[in-house]
Amino acid sequence: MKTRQGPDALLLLSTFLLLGIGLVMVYSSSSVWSLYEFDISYYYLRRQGIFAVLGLAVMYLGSRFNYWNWRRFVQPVFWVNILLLLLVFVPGVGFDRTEAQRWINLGFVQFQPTDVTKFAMVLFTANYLVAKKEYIHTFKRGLLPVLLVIGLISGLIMMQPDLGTTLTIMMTVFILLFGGGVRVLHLGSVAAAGGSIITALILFVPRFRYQLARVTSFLNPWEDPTGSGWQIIQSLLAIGSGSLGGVGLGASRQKFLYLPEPWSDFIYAIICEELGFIGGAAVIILFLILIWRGFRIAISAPDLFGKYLAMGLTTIIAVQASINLGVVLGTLPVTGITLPLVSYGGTSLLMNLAFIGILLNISRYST
Amino acid sequence: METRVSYTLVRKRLLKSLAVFAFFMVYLIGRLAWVQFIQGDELRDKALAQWNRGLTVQPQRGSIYSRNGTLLAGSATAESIIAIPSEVKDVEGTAQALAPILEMKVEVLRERLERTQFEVFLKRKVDDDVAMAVKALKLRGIRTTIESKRFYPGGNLGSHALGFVGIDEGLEGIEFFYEKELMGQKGYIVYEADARGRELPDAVQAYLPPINGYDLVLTIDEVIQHIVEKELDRAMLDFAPEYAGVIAVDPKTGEILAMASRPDFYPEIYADYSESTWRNPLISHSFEPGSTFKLATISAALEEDIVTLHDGYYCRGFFTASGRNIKCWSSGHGSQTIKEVLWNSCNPGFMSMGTRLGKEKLFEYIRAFGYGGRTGVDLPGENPGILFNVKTMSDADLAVSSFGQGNAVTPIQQAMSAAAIANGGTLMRPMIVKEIRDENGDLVKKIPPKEVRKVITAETASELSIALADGVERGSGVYSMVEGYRMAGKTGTAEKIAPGGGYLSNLYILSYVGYGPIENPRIAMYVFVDGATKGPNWGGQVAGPIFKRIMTQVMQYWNIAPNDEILQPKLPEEIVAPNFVNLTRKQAMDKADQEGFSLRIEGEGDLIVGQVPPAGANIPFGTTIIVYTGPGGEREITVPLLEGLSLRETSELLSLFGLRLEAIGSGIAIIQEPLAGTQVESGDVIKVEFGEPSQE
Repeated sequence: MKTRQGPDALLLLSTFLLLGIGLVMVYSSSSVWSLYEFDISYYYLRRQGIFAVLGLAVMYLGSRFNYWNWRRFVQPVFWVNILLLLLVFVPGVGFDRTEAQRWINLGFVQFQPTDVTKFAMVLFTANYLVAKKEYIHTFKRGLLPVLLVIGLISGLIMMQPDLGTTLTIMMTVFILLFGGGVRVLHLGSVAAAGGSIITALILFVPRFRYQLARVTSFLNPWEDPTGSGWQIIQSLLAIGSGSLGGVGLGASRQKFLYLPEPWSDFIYAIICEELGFIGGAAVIILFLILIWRGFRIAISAPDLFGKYLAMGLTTIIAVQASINLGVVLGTLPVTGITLPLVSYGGTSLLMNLAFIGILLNISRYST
Repeated sequence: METRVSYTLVRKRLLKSLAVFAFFMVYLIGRLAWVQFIQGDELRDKALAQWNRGLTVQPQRGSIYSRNGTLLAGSATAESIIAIPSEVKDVEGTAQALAPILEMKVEVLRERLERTQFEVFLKRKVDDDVAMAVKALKLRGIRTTIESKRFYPGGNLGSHALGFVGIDEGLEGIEFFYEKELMGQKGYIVYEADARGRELPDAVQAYLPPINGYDLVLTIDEVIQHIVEKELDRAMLDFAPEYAGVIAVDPKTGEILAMASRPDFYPEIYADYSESTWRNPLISHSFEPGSTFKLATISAALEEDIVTLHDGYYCRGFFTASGRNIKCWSSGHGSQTIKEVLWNSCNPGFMSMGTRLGKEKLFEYIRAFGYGGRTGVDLPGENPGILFNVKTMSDADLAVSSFGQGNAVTPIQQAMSAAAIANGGTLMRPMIVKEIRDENGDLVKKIPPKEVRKVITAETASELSIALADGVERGSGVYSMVEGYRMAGKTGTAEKIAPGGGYLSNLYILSYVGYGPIENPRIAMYVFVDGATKGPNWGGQVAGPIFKRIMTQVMQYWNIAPNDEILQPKLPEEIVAPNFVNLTRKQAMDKADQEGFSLRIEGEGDLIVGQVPPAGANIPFGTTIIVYTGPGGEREITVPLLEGLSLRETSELLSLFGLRLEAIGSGIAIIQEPLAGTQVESGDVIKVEFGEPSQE
């Protein structure tokens, strides 16, 4: 059968480094707040540390679990995911933590069901591409069914309404479909159709025109510095203050007031402020290495399911990292996507480390 | 076959996808570099402006205490009125409502309320009733924040040492020098912001309390400071000088016990005073010291065994250096011991000592006493003074340096060098803060005294102290002698340098430096009165009595038992008035200083042309002798004695009298026509023949 080798060392190394930088920066950006809110400086660090340890255990398990067995779990994971997405609207279980995201409270831990959705959709699409590989170049039997599924899932997430996560999942699935051989003409047509609908909405429905102004505020945040431009400006002020070597670990000023929850979405701005260009570029390069190894694993995987699964998991991390970094650097609209492996967030960290574990497992069967 | 083609396609598409991500990541690195390097400066400035805009909560500034524990500077909280413009819906109404309470123009308020800033100060550090009135209005977007306001219970007391505080930070004195310790750490008011950044913060979410600043305990003794301030006020009334100042230090530790000068200011309303008033002249004023500087010369000469106090010296009335005859203030002291040279303050005697020491040695000691460099006192704005450059100075420069001319020094340097002699020859670094404490009064840091260097041996120091004290008790020190205590002391009279160079003819810096009791010196003090416009014009009768009065009160305050044998010398009831005619102002003053007369100089010129009572008359001791100078417009002028003066000196002197010079030959003045003492008209020509000085 398939020959086993050691897991991909560079993928493991870049994961550890990002995780380490994340822990240090979560502590640096949260300690003052933590001290204020909980009387201890390491509240957030401790929680993130617990999830990092759990996540590393899950990663290890994932790397030992033969990846082709995941095909058996495509259906169960998909339905559990649907259930969770509905559960967030059940009073007492689901709740609003921020304006746009809905969470599930399990008592000891709160988590975003969309973390499970990401995995479910990658698993579903990878399996679909393998199962329908004969028809995948056709529209009706190949592309349309998967479009309906993704439409359903997106609709559920948009009800929260979490636009950022919806986009992340849609983009991941599209890239995966592209990798799986769907015709570029088809993908292009779908994108064009979607684009036309959005354009029409913006042109004829005032509410959407207003939304557009908000979304595009990142293009010129200084037009409304205390309103929609606030976070982008604060992020840029933090980054700009960093220069080459940064203001020094722990010395960020922006983390005090100006960036809300600096250990979350905007942790990269604090990294750039405290560690400067050197630290900021290092993080991007680590992600670049991680993505490169992920795609290499996909290319070298011995079967189609392995290739698609590896590509999908890598893409999930790559899309999130790209969106988060793009937002923080002021080149994309604010979406509320965290930086994988680095930002504070228990279940998200757990899931990302699980993805890495699965990738490590696939890497052991490289041809 | 189907599968293999599919694998190739998948591989191609995977590589394309990877390329897109890689391209985007590289773009992000470029974007990062752009933001940090190209836009960096601009963003940093904006960030800084934002941080300083007042989202912070000011900590309470640390207090300043005297060594006795009395409060010299403290902080009370005051409220500031701030606005969050984005929350203010009704700008016009808000501005109208606030204007009368804050006593501000509606337009100004309107402009501030419309700023695109997160937070704007409307008025800072307002009185309690104003803050209450604003709060009672419950206006949307208007808040108050607590800041610290500085107050000084002693009023003007020690204002130059304490300095003052601007809106946010110490700007002068200790308040400036110890800004970091006094300031504390800012606290923060934190506002809630939506995670999408779409809604402006609406409510205060959290408050991180500030950490208050540290307290300082000074070396200043409040009682001595009060005594000094009181005596300075009296001096201002008596002599109406431009400046006056006193610095008193503990010679053993260098601790500054009192430091005050006039004109002073009230630190709470410092802005109402001119900026020149803020400067602390005791550390920033540098001038030619005059005779007080002779202590350095004689210390060096004794230490180097150039002379002993019992050696003899004959004063002919001048000393020749670089071919120039530099005059003594007297017409010649004749035969004296070195001790008498010190008592008489005989300039040729000191020039001789300085010349025998040589430039290098003399200036080695001058520098060792701390002149020509900052003393390192923990106050801002210290002036190092200026000394001659040993490499380029002439023999005449060396000669005048020996008796206190040509070099510029500060009051604190003179106080510290006298303190060094009092301290057995060891120079200490002056200090004004001895302890730093936290808000609970717990000691954070104790600042120990610091020895700078050993300048002279204890034997030399002790010998010199006794000689100085003997001098004070010999009669001419009657104005400065502290009855019951042996005090070392020396007067000084220095001419003021005019802004454009040269000396001002009628303004002097009168000084006195001393310490005691010499058996166990507890205090060293320097007193100066700069540019007295009324009263006597010489050091001994102006600065000396200030020294005496302060010392007498300090000895009582410290309960130091007086020695009944040390009494004011018996003074003769009548003495013979000496001659002042044809002396320069400076010479006349030095003469009056040494012989114990009170002198009043009338007129603008430099040369004394007449005196009342006349020379040789019997007068009661203490009578003020009034002397007149020329010229007075069309009045007749007495031709001065020019013999022995250089061409430049001759020309300067004659121009002072409004006379013109016709010079013949070069060298020093030998023959003049008309002769000295002749009455001439203003503008007349005096013929002077210059030549080689005759060999003596």
